[in-house]
Amino acid sequence: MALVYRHITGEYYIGSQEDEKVSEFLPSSFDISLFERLSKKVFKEKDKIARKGIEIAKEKISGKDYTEDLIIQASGLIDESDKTINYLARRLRRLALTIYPELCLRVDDNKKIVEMLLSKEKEEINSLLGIKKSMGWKCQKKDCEFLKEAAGKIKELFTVREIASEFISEKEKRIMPNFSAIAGPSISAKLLSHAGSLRSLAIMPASTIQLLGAEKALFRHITRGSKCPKYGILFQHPAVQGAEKKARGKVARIIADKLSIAARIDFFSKEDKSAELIKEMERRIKDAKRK
Amino acid sequence: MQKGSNPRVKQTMLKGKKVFATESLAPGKSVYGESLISLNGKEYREWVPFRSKIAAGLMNGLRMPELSMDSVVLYLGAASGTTVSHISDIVSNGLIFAVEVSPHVTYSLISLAEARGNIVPVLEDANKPEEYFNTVIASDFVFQDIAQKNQVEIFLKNCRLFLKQSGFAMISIKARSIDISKKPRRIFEEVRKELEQRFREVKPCTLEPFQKDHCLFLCLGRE
Ligand SMILES: C[S@@+](CC[C@H](N)C(=O)[O-])C[C@H]1O[C@@H](n2cnc3c(N)ncnc32)[C@H](O)[C@@H]1O
Repeated sequence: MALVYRHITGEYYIGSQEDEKVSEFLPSSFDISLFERLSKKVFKEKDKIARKGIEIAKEKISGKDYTEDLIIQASGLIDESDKTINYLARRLRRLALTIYPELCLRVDDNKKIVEMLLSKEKEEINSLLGIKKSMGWKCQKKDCEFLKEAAGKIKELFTVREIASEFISEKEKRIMPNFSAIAGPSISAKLLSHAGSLRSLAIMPASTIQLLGAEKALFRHITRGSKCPKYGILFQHPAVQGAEKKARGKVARIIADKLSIAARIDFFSKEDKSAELIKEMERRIKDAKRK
Repeated sequence: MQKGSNPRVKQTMLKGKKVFATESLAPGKSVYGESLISLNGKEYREWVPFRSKIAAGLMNGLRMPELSMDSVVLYLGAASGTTVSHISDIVSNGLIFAVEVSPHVTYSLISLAEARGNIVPVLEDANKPEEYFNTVIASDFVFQDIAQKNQVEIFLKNCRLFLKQSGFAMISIKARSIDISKKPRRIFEEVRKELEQRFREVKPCTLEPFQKDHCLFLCLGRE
């Protein structure tokens, strides 16, 4: 009887190829001595193995669907944009302070201040704010032209953020319709980032989903016996935010329960059952709040 | 690696410090920011112990059996190829099968393989060796660095299939990935017992101060 080992570089035999009975060498019918003999033959083709291996690896890596990865990266891009926007907006406020003191004092919203500086002239801004006599420096137009330029660049970061946000919602509707309907696009993306993949969300117990993003607190709980955290990223969910402090843990648990079911449906079938899931979730949250 | 054996790995001095270095298979390029050292007209690459667990082991006196220039190596958890690049230098006429599951890091691994010719990137899960049974061949050295909860089981599964009878194996254990609530020393003791059921001899080597709470286990004589 002959044995054949099917390798990526070709077929290798022990015994005669013409033998009537040829059985395949498999991990299940394993024998290390035989494998060493076969390997010795295969090794002669070492350059071919390396070339073929690289070819297969490239094929494999470029043939995957990276939607999940794009969602995760877009979510990271939003976080970083937010940080950068905050940082630059603070600088911009300081830059504009001497010329537009009232604007800087009264308008807290960064986006609004950026837009006003970008699109409006000094007189217009002051009259919009209802200021008759401003404390601002009476500079010439060319002295504050630079502010407009800077505001324009920051405005672009807001645009990046919006585009990434839209991208996330749209992609999530396709690959995780149930999950994103319950958690909302932004929280879904963050949970996905922490879990690493939709697959891991689907096989994760609800209690783990509940604590995603609270890893540090959980670690302190396990090693030093501090209080067990009740929620991680889910803290940002509107239903948790809307609940009384002492009910928040329970609400987070209920959401996590539904998310766990949703992740499984999304991973295995993608059938949209979000309406039912949300209804059931809201009912349980109401009950929990009553108690 | 034991001294005086494979000429492609050497101990030398760099900026007044003792370092290990490997003769570059693709001279002129630093792979991960390591220094390039010229020795007797040949280019060596510093093997940085803070970046590579095997280098950390060597710095701490680990005595690994020799790898020859045509050895076959199975490396589980290759990542972007930091350590793989040094093994590739050492087994210059051999082969190194570099198994890695996460796509993001494998772009660099594939480029490294293209530049060198003795690296076979295997984009599979080390927990499913059947998936690469038609790629990886019997190996002289099996090394694993994957930081997974069931990594010992994965290691043993791979050794059973791919480690030559005359070969040796090594596993890097990060105590935290096995169980964050237990003391590293206890975990290492348990791992050692588990390995001793399958190997005649198991030699631990901790990696302080280069890597925190890590331990290498050199395994000799498969069952
Ligand atoms: C600590 S890094 C390895 C660093 C590398 N050994 C070096 O020194 O250059 C661990 C790697 O193992 C990979 N990994 C984890 N589980 C794996 C598995 N089951 N199969 C293959 N690779 C795995 C991870 O993706 C990660 O890239």
